[in-house]
Amino acid sequence: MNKKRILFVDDEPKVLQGITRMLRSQRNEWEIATAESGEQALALLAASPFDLIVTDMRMPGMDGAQLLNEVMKQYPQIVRIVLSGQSDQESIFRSVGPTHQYLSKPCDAETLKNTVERACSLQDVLANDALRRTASQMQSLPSLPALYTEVLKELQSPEPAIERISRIISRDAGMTAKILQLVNSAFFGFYRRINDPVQAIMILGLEKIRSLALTVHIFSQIDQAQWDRFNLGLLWKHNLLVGQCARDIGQTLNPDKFFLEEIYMAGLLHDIGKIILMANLPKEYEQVLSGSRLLPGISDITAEYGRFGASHAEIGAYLLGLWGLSTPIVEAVAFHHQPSQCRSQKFSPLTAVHAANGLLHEAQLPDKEIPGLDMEYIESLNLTGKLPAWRQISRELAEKRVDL
Amino acid sequence: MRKSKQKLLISRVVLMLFSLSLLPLLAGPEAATDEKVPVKIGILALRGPEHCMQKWGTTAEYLTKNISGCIFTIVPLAYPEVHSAVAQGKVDFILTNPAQYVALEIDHGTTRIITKMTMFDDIPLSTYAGVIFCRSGRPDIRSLADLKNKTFMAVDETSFGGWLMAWRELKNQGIDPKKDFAALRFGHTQDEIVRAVNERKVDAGTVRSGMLENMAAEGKIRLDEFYVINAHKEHAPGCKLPFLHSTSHYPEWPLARLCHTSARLAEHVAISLIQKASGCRLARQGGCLFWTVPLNYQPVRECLKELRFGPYHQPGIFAFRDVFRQYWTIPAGISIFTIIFIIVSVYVTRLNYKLQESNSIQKKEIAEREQAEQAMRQNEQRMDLALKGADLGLWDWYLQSGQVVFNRRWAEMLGYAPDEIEPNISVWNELVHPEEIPQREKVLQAHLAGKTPFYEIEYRLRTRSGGWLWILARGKVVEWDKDGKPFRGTGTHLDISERKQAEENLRNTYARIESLLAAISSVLIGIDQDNKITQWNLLAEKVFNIPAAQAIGQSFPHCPIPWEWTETLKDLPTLMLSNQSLHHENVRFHCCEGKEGILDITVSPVQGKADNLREFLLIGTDVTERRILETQLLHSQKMESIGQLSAGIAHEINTPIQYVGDNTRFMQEACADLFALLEKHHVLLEACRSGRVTPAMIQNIEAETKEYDLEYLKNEIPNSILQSLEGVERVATIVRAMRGFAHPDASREKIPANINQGIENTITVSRNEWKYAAEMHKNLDPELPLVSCLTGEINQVILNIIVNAAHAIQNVVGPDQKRKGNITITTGHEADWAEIRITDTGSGIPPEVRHKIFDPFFTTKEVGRGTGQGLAISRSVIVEKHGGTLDFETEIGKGTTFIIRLPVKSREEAGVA
Repeated sequence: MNKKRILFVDDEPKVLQGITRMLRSQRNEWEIATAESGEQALALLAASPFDLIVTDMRMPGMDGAQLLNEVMKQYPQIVRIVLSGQSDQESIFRSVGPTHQYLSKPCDAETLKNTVERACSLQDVLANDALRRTASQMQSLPSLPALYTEVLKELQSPEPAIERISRIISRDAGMTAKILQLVNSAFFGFYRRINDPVQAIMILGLEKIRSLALTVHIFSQIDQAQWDRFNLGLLWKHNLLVGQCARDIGQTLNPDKFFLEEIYMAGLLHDIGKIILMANLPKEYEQVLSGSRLLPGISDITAEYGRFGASHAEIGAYLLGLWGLSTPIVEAVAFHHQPSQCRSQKFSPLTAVHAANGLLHEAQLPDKEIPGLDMEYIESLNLTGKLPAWRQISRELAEKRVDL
Repeated sequence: MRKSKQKLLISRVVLMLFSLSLLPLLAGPEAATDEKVPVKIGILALRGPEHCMQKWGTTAEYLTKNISGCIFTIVPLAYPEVHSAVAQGKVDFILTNPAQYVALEIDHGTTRIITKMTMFDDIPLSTYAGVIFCRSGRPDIRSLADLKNKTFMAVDETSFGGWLMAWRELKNQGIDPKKDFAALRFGHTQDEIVRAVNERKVDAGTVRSGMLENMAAEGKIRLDEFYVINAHKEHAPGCKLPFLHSTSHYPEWPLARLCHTSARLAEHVAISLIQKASGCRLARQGGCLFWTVPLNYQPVRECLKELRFGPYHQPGIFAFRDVFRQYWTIPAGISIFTIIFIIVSVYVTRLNYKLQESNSIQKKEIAEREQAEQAMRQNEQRMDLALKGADLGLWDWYLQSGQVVFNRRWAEMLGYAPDEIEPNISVWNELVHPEEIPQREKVLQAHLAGKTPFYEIEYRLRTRSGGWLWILARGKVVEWDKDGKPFRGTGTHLDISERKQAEENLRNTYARIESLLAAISSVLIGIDQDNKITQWNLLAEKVFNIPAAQAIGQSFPHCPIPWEWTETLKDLPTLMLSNQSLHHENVRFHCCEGKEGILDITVSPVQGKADNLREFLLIGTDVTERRILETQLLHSQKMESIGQLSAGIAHEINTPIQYVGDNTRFMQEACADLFALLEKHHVLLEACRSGRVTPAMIQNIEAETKEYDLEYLKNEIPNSILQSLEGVERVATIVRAMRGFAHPDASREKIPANINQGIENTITVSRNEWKYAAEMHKNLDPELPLVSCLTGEINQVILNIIVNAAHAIQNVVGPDQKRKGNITITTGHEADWAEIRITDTGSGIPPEVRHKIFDPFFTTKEVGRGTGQGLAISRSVIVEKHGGTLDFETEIGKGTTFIIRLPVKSREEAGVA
């Protein structure tokens, strides 16, 4: 097994030495290299390939944000993490774009190790290098134009209402994912596991959301061309429905609020890989979709595997993993079509999302052959008895009119 | 036509006189101080010159004070001197008895302006009479007829009350003093007569009424030793003379102006004296002299006419009668009868001739008299003009008929033509302001009932245009009917609207000053030269919790003002002799409820009216709030820069914490590895001991040692310990510097501080601000003395300048931060001054903003980077709080040096030393 190559960059050599010593226990898995400046780091990157870069923000000469921007352009597949003691807003804003995750100094050894470890293991999720590059280059996930415009309008209004903004954002997978990235990372000096976009927006505050949206452009919208090509309205409605349905299913087993929020998030984001594909590889993806429709017996998933060597599930999970969203969400997204492949074998967001997705497809398109429920998986969790109730839930939801 | 011409002439004369007399008056008080016009008042000295000076001296002083540009002096005159003094114009005014006045009026055209009154038991009397008396122990003298063949003494041939009045009375009783008295002598002063009668030198005498009573009051005589002959018991209508008297009443002495004296001056004198009299009366002062409008002197003229005296003296008739009476009574011897007859015949013939001559003289004199009377009429007119000039309206009220006679001025004052006002009291009454009707009625009734000597009131009358005019009305009843009821009253009206306006203005001004003083947001205390508090405003009451009533009049140094008295405040009067203001800052005071405050006090001398009179005004501004705000502003700026610094400091601390933590984690793992290896070695050792060592064991140990990378551990463990210790020290240094930098200056008192240390601390805490822009160079003077200062605030200033320097360098080197500039901090000392120079290699300060850099809120930095408060506060800290200087030298493109100079000893210490 190849050792993961990790590059640490800091203008303080003692910090680099300390990190190197601290990661000595990983010496068999990781190969550590250090650089004392951005320039030196770029030189090392040019000399040999790396999987991950961890950099300080404020350094003489080229600073962390500049370095990561450069890395994103030249070596997009490298996972980009910031480890900084800096907390001034300006440099944070500059780093929001190119940074996948943000760690603040002082960072305890476990967090650093876990973060690096998770990022490294993500590479195993998505085997396709090209897709990895595509995903890790994405600074934002495109939103539905209607919602995007609505949010910007609200933010530019003289008296924007945070409640209205939360409501709009929480209906859009792209914006929600970005907000969760910012809150679940230490960009703004705090680091929380939060799965409720409304709460995340409250924590960030109106001022920061406004600056981020209007000047850093953390949100973006889908081109009209893609809108025309794909039936995006349907996809957005589906995302919302799966979110709601998964939450309702979860409620039948575990009424914990945090847990239900996580399930809803997982449901909302489960098809995020499709958005990545539509936005970045529209032609290829269109071919895949039309091909699968022409050939009976071949599902979209199979077609995706055939074309990309990976499905939208892995691509979406990879990006969300890069952005530091919680493991249950990433797993739910990654395995929502093949839940039994997941190591976790208990009721989780994955279970709820898988069930919701399958049952909703079943309810909406009873004739079309689509990958349905993994009954073995359900059975292994001893949840078969719950199915009639879940089916009932999904039917009721499917009949309801969903407005975006 | 003739009349109008005459009027024109008179008005011209008056106008001329008026304008002439105005000249000295118009010159104004300043000019007049140099050349004051002397004005002499001749006064007939009844009781000798000393008594006269004593009696009238104050009147002269009063006039001098009241009428600018003139110095009034009194010239006492004996009887014979009066005429000559007037004839030669030695005096400007003359106060003499009515007889002499009548003569002077005719001979020299003197004009009476006012009539003197005498006071008796608070009753002013405007008439007097003569009293004829003998010792009470003379039962042979009980009537005027009994005086025949007695010796008699009078004051002077021209004395009116002291002779002429008595003469007229004797004459009416058929007594010819020259013929019927055994002797007629003149004693020249009134006292002399009384003394002579008392000492039995003469049988009887005459003086003016009141003299006996006066002398008795003075203790010179006893009244019961005298008997008044022909004492009038009944009162003449309109005159209640409370003295013993034997003759008819005559008006009192007039004050007259000579014809060379200007009517204008006369008016001033008349008005001043009348006003003084009323002022006196109000104050009920003793020894006052009273005056009234000029009275009618006709009775005097009639008296003199009857006696053919003075101006009415007819020498021809007199000579004839004299001779006739003289020789008629001589017993003639028959032997010489014929001779005498012849002589008499011849004499008679000659006499006849003389008579004819005297007839023509008499005719001539009648003409002269008519002329004199015409002059008198002119004088009357002039008087009227004088009244008019004095703005006096006249009224004459017949109480029983209700008829009132007003003069022109009376009507004009109210805007009416004289014929527009019906001469009736009811018309007058209707003009009175409703508010003043009751008071006027009260005053009037009191006077009519005889309770007051005068009717006097200030009240408003409606003018023709409907406005209100303030009037001073003054008058008195002058005639009574036979039942003693008031019959006729006369008086004057004076327009006092200007005075009222002035009073009103004064009241308004006073009220305004009062409200200003009350509104002033400072404590205001007036202190007079005797250290007494004279002024204590509302805020003083509030701040010190002492009511004005309690404070005013107290001695200032002993007033329990709850502030911290400093010696300077106590020594106020001595200090004030230097005539300089005194400023005292930060005087602590304790207000109510135990709260403390701070006052800034300024004491200024205020020039009083007289040169030597000095007062002080103490103004205390409650600066408690301001001091708090100043502290808060400084504090907030400090907090702001600490906030700004905190990101940098956090980074500075985070870095060592990061590697100390990493190293410690490493050591934990390394120790675990070492102990595991040690355990394996221990097993090997046991095997060695027991001699059961196998080559596999040794191989195993070698493999393990390689696996644990012992070489790496050997190198890295000491390094990591060393770096951890160094990191901990770095954190400790930063924390210490922070504490030293943000010195709270809690006591707010300057303490001797090591400036170099402060600079080191400031450099450390601000490291993150400058380290990407510049290298820091220190050139600190090891000999720098301790400087008395507020350390925290000085550090703040140094920080502000360092941050500015870093920003200035960033402007030059740009954001790429590849090149760095230099910041050099140098300290030094010279005499009692410490100097800190902070030099940067930045952009320099553009000339156009150099004068503005210390202004509050001035900044050249982009929004969010600077508030524009840093240098403004720095200057305030250095200059105002420490008495130092803050300057800068700058060159565009080369950089800037800020120079802080601080006195080694604070002002407070220097003051103590």
